[in-house]
Amino acid sequence: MKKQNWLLPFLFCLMAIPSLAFAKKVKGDPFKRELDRAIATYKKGQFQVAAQEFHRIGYSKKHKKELRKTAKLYLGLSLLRLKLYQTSSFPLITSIKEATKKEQQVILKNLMLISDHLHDTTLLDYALNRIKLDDLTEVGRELYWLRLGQSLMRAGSYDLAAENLKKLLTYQPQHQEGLYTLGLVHLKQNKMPEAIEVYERLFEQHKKKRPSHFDRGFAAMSLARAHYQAKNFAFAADFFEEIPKDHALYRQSLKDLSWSYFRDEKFRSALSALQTLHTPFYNQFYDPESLVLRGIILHFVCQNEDAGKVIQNFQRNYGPTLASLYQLSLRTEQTDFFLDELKKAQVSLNGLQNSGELKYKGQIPFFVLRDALESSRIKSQLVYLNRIEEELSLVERGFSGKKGQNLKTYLRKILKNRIKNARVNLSKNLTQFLLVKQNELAQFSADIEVLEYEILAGKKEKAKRDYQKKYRGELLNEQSEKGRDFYISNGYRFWPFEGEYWRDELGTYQYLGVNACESK
Amino acid sequence: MAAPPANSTSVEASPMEVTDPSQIEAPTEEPVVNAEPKDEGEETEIDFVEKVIDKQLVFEAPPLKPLPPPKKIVQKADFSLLEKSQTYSDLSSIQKTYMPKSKRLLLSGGYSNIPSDVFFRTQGYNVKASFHLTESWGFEVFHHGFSSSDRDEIDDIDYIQGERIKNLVPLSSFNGANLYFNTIYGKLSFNNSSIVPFEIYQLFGIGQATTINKTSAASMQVGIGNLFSLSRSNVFRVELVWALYTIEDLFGKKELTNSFFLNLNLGRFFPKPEYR
Repeated sequence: MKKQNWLLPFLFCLMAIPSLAFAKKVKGDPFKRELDRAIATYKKGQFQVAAQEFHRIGYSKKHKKELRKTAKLYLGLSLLRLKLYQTSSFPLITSIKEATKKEQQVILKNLMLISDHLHDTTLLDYALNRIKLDDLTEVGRELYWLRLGQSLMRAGSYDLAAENLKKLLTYQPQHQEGLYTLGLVHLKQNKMPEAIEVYERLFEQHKKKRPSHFDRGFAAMSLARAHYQAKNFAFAADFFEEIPKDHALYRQSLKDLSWSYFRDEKFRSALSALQTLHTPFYNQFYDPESLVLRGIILHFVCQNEDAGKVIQNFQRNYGPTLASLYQLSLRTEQTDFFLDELKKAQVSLNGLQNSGELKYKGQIPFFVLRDALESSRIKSQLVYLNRIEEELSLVERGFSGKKGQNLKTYLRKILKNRIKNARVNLSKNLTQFLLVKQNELAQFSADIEVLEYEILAGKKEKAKRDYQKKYRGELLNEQSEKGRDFYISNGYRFWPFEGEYWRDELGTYQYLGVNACESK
Repeated sequence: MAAPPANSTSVEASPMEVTDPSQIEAPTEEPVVNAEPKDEGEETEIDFVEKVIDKQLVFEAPPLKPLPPPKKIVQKADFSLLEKSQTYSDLSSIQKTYMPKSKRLLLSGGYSNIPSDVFFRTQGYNVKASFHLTESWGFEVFHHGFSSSDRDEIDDIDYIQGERIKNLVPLSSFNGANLYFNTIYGKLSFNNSSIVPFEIYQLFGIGQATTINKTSAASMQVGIGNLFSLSRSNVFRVELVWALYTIEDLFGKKELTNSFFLNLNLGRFFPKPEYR
């Protein structure tokens, strides 16, 4: 009897095993089925419901790692379809490592959309870092080489940067950003002929567009600057003059044009180009360099009295500005202060552009902040901050129910964190920008002091010469030559300048003075 | 630096990481975090992605000597001091003509009136075709058509005094050609929001005046006008022309007569201007 006691349970277990296995085969993995249902919901276009399901599966430890990875990927895609760009990037980034090749392509494609919308390429660069070159499609490879080239250029590896950019241009010879970056790399390598050749290719692409088209002017500007660096000042001036008055880069081109004329020893033309920058139309732009250049040119042509007035003007405008920037540099870690000032400047700028009147009472000089608002890094960060704040308000308005609340909490966490960090980053970038400006302005102030010394020396020499002439009984040279004859050709109008500024005359000022230096 | 081999299964060494540090200089930015996220839930993953995003560029400015706070914060530049320099007396603006006229044809038409006619209200239309050789010189051909009605003075003489005035004849048309010469150019600001260039010109020419009796006479005329440029091709002209001619009255008697014409025209230049 004892022997039979263990035999029956053993036989029972032996019979149960196949039936258990059979039961499993019929019902399947319930967790996998949950995921499949959620994917089906996604494919039906019910993205909000699908997102809530994917969130629940993706962050639930009871699901297998494999399923959680897939759920996170689909969570990212669902949030993207709901136009929640920033929040969708988080699950996409975390699922990139274990993703299959096909999934990596999908993630990369969507990160491109996200970076384009948010004006931030950080996550896109990270993704390109993780993906192997051979796994990329054509578009992915172009982006890869471009980003690699830009990254190597920033790191100072110009030869490697050029190599990768050339690979990009072999694939896509007309790639605008690639051409521009390759030209920049050649300039940093001091390979001027190569840089000029690349920029000529870029300019040829846009030559037939209308003169005020941004790309055409940008290409002309790049080519002009390459010629300037190669010391072909006449060519540089020709290309700077390709940029018309109604182009976005016109104001920047005037200063560079003036430098080109100055280096080409065409002092009258150089002063003529600068005159436009020193009219009331441009007084809300920060530009100490143009005043320094004006002083230098006037000193070169021995117009030392006028050069002295330029120095006084510089000290009146930029002396207090340097003091303001110094005081601001003593304020550290004051995110709210800097962001408020930036917002005030933005509002005032909109008002100025609409009504022509500047109403601003901030502690940071307006024209410096205007320069900051034009800098690409700060501009992108402002757009980014606005976009994620809009996204947060979108999240607050959506997602109801318990599952919705869980997802909402997750999204809110991401966005509030992002907004906080983005504000800190923006504020830090602005303080860095102000530090750079402070450093630059201090350098210009030092240059002005040297120029002032040179001007005084020039005046002293002139006074000595005049005294010697008087002593010898010679006549002093009269500098003014009013009534000089000059010819204006058909199709041109001459307007003598009498202190009145007309908007249509911007860019047409001509300096008709003479070189007052006497031959020794 | 070679790309990783095609069959490599390793994903640890990213192609963007430089294997030989001596090949590059130290980067100016902090490197992007390349660690992988641990699969430990929301907080860890959010922190990981934040570290990827968070990059900082640090700039250490050289020390500046301390500066006191400014008395007044300068918000924009003030170039008024530059205006007192001698340079300004040597400055001028030389600009391309806003509305170029050289080698362009102007077709215009409008209203005409003869205000100098004491006894008749004579008004009508005029059409002109002008061609400009240069900005200053050009020539034009014109045609005026008129209709007239008696003024109150003639009616009074006729109906009150019983006298009918018969030997006064108004003009029915006036055609001719003029030489155009522009002497003065200028511009005016309209409502402080737009600039309107204008030019004052003179006309000198010959023509033919025809009365309602179908009698014609040769004429000589001089005129002065103002041409306002509404755009690079559209114009508005106001001109006064004084014509001198000998005309026959109803009884065949020849009389030296003169008329003032006031013309108000709108016109358009063809073709479009060549430069922007």
